[in-house]
Amino acid sequence: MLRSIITVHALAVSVQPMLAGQFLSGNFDMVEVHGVVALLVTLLALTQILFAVLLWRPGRGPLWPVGASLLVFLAEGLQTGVGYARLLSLHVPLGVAIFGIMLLLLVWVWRPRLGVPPKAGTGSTPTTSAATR
Amino acid sequence: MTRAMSPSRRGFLGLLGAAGAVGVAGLAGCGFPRGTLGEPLTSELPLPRPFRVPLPVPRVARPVRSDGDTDYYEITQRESEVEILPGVRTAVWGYDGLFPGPTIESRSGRRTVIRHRNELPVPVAVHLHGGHTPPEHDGYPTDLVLPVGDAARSGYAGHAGRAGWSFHRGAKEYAYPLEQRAATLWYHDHRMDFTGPQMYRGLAGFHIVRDDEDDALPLPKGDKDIPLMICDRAFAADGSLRYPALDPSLRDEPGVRAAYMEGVLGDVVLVNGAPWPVLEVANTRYRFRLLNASNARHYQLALDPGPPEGASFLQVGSDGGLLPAPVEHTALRIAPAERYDVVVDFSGYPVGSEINLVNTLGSGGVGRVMRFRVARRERDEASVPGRLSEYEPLRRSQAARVREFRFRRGTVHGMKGWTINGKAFDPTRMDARPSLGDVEIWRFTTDFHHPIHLHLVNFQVLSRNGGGPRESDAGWKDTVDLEVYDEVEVITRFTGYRGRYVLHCHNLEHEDMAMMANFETV
Ligand SMILES: [Cu+2]
Repeated sequence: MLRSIITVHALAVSVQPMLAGQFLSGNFDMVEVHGVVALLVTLLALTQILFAVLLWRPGRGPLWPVGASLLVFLAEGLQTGVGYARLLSLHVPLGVAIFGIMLLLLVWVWRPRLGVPPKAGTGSTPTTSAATR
Repeated sequence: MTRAMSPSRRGFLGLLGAAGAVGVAGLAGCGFPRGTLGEPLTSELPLPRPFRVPLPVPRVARPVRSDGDTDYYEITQRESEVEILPGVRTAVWGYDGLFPGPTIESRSGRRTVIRHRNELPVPVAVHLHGGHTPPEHDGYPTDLVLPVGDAARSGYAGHAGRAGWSFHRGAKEYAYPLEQRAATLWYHDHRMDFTGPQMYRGLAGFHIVRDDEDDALPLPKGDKDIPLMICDRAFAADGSLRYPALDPSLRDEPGVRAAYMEGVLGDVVLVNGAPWPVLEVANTRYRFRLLNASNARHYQLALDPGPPEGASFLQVGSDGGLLPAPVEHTALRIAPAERYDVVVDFSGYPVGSEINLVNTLGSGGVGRVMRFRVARRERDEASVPGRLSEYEPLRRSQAARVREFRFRRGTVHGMKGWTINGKAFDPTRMDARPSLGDVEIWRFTTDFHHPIHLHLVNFQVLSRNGGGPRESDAGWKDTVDLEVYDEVEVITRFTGYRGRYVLHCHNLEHEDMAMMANFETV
């Protein structure tokens, strides 16, 4: 479940610069879509925190995804504020940073667990399998 | 995550990392294709091959009479059929039936009076853009010249008696004192709510003011001083100009279809009314008076190939005439209604060279503008001196006050439109009252691309987003280009005439959708 949420979240995040680009190149309505997607992204971030926590307890998974999800959530909140305040000089680098963290999380949830016998999936990485699948 | 990674996993991560990097680069690239700035319209006809037709130069109008201090002209605004695309007849609305209209040439300080007779099926208003003109001759949007013999038509006659509107039956004399520096001005339609479609149909022409200071400079002259009116159009299957007007008769209902409210873009670039034309030049300097007369399209002009030495464009003048000193540009961004007076030196190109004037904001057809072909060798009589002119730079400390104008998307009569300080244009509401003689700073902020134009006065660009102006902001200007979320301060001294004038966005679809405000000089 966490995997699906992170995937959708990362997708939504990656749509944002495209919408911004269309706005800058002349389609005004795209900035409104950009705002709606921003709200969606923030909701996804909240959900992601919830599932990251569940993965940790009771799931016995690592704690760092909780931290990373919280960080992304806070960054996105700030990003939305900065966007509405039209501070482009902060908005663009912050957007790149959020995209970077989401990319890392995406790699983490989709990493192939090679070297682990498929049937013994609960062996070397017992904690993630249950909750992420 | 402390486990050593297996080789294949490291490879997978590397791949993902690379994909991510490409993705980020691609997305970052997406943020900056500022090529369109509006909604493109596509022609329904096959487009001509570029660089086939010679560049037309609009004819210079002759006065019908002159006296001690005034030249008198007569222009009839009428529909005519012209050949813009080879072999295709296109109906245009033109000054004397021409698109562009005839060029008016005036001497600074000598009065020019132009009687405009309206044989079009709609009301018109004529604005001399860049003119220092009394208010009753400025082409105020609701000061309309009604069609000859057709003054009682409903729709616009219904405006009669409404506050702020006035009408002239069939014709009006516009008198221009032209007490101003030599500059490339232009005249165009300014009818309330319908400027976009009426200019698009052809109502625009050059008005060049000359003076002794400019004449005395050794800049290229005569047939090497050429005005270039750049605009984009789209064509319908029947050859007519394609425009998404809600009311194609342009009589009653203003506006364009909602998708086009950002601005209408064509797919054919015309220079002086010809599609992607060619100009044969000698291997010498030329002075080109560049005007972007497009409704909404911005261009970034460059020469391809650029000259082997020196910059492509040596700018000598802006909207309001000569700069203090020439400014070099390898590329020149030009927003609707802006003018750049540039010298191009073809001496570095061998005879036979073909040099394209390109638009690096566009791709395909709209990425091309015109072509120069170096056809002959000639001795160059012209040069560009290091000092061109002198004028008083206005300083922040001189300003009596600062006014704010916020240019934003907003609600106009219950529909989506464009506003200034949250308000739609209203001819009866005065938004600023500067005193004659006062210096003021006007601060503009935007939510989108808006080229902002002031009537009556020229200004100097004081700042951009807290920093200095751009190189291309130099000189006296009447139109300043603002991009998304820009803040620009301009400074000016209000002089000349008392009365009501407008400031507005010169993206014509924005202007027609209410992005205009009044000021009254007192
Ligand atoms: Cu605008």
